[in-house]
Amino acid sequence: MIDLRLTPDQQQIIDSVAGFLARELPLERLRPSEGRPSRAGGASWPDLAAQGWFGLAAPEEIGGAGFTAVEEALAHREFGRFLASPAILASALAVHAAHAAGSADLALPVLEGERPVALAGLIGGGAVGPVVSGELHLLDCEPGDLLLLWDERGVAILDRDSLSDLREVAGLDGSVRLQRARAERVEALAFVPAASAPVARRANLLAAAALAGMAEAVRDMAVEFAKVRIQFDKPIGSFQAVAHHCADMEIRARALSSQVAFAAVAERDGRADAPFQIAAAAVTAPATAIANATIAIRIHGAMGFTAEAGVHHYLKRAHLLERMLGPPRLRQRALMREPSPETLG
Amino acid sequence: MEFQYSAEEREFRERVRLWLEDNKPREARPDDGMPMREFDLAWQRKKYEGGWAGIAWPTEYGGLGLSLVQQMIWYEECARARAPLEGCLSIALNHAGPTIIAVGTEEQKARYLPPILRGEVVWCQGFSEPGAGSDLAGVRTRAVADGDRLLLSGQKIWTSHAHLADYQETLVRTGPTTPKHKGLTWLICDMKAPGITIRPILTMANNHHFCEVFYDNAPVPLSDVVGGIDNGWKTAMSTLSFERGGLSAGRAAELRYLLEELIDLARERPAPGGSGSALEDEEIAAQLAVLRAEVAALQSMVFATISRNAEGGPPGHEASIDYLCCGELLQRIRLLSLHILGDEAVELGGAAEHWGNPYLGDRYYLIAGGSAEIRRNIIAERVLGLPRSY
Repeated sequence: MIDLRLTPDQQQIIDSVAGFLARELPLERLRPSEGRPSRAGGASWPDLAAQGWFGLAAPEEIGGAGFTAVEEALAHREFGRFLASPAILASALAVHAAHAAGSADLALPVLEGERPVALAGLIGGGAVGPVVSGELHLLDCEPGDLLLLWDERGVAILDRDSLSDLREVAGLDGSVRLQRARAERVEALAFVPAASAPVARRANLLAAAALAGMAEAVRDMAVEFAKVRIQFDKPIGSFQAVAHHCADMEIRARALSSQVAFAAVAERDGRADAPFQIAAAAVTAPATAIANATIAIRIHGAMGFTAEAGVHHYLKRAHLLERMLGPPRLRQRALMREPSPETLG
Repeated sequence: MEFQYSAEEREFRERVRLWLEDNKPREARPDDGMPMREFDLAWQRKKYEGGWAGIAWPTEYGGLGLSLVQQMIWYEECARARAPLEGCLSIALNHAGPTIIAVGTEEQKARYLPPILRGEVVWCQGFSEPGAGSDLAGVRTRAVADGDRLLLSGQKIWTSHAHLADYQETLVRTGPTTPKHKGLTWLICDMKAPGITIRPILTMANNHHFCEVFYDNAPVPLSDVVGGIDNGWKTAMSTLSFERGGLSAGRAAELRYLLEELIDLARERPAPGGSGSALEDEEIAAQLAVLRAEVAALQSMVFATISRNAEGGPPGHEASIDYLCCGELLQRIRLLSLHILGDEAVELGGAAEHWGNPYLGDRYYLIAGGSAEIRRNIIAERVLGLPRSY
């Protein structure tokens, strides 16, 4: 069967996730007058956990919902669309990592929302391994959190309390709290090498999915604005200079969303080309989200330059997620190392 | 979401693969003139004899009536085998033939369809005129009734392969010019009819891809009007639903193989102005990786389009996106090929033999059949719902 359309179940998952996000984490929460919002929006962290988001693709025997990489990627596309906290991504990945490491004790409190997980990234290289050393960025991290970091070597879970020299820094993406801290030969609570389980690959897939949601969101914002903003007595979307930018946003967003869905199907089905497809998505995703956000800001004109209009958050978040995916050269080389798939499917 | 070929589809792919291995042309396709025509006709005859003619045509008209997924497999396998596509028979097989199937009379079907499948005739498309390129409805070539025939006078231009063609699908004005889309008629013009003069045009790619065609009271029997007098716009649009993504899948697969050939070339060529191979050049390697990622995205997008169109029903305008994306990626691959060839890229032969002329010739894809700009208009208006911008 060649059918990449959403099944009714998949559509239902998307509607449910998007419905909750629209209620509890609407984009308006990011308006400057609101201050920095809670990472759970109007809800609490256990409320998010109760949605089943952190164990969406975890097996039912450990308390997950038993869905696959496909449904999980679709959900993360919605998280991207609503600029949800990277801690949601970190929590979902931590459940995968804990499960792969055989540590149910670690997975359960994360699944239930008792133990939020924040995303972390080594600064200026350094290796993710069973022991982690170096300076780190922490995203949306709060006391009591676990930390999750990944690179092409694997995925590690650390205890925030094992870090030293933790301090606030001003972030490019003001919608996410940014901190620095130091790891001095910190032993990971769990480490999953890339060779033993594809959790790092899942991380790339889900980050790419979030970026796809962002690329779609700014396309929609810009297109709606171009329909209603009147200049020279016409909607600005009736000028080709604007209309063609919108068409380009559509091409890029559609290409990326198709790519992420196709890669997720390859991953779910254990196809040999799954590493290739995900490595490819990791190359295109940040570039796509950044290109679309750049143009969407411009189509909004001076309004797009204001803090009040939400569109700038997407540009900033795209850079933050790109940084988590690793330097472009490394992602490009990872893709070139994969054999080009012959016949697909 | 599923992406698993059925046992029947796998078996079909295997049959196509084996047949292509044994039957695909061994010699390179000539890129101009009668040798090209003969090559393309011979390949079509071979397909006809092997039972592979008219893959997307309904069986009642001698086609194979393949499912969309099977069409896609056919084109993917052609790309894999480096077997040529329809070449100068493309208009006959993918446009004129399907139009006659959609709205032609039984006599027209019986007379014109079988020779197309048998590889006996070449068709061209007489749509564009000096004043009607992107604005196709601006056609001014006139046809006036004269007993049981029409007499054509005027001029077409940029008509691909007109000098090699037996027939032309011709859009002419039979009615008033306002409103523009009314008063057009779609007809079959015999290229050997008296009053027709064909003048090939040398292209920037050093071949005679297209022509000017002049009509000086050229006669066309009324029985060769397809879809009715003054109904030509509707007739011309009747084939929009013919291309549902099978061909795009083939083009995406061709791009994939082309890019892998380029990576091989980069492995063999020296780095421009440096040591090691071109593949070790940071800039070239980065561009190859980005192209590889984007070609993979295109491939996924084409599969998504096929998924939407497989069940029948009118296809959306996604095909415009896929086609545009194909053309733009192709040009970027071609441009990078010249960078990889380095100093020798200014030659057309030698190391550049397979890259120089295609670099020039592939400009075609972002102009013909709707320029990149027209396609962006369509995407903005029909897909995104923006106001008409032209």
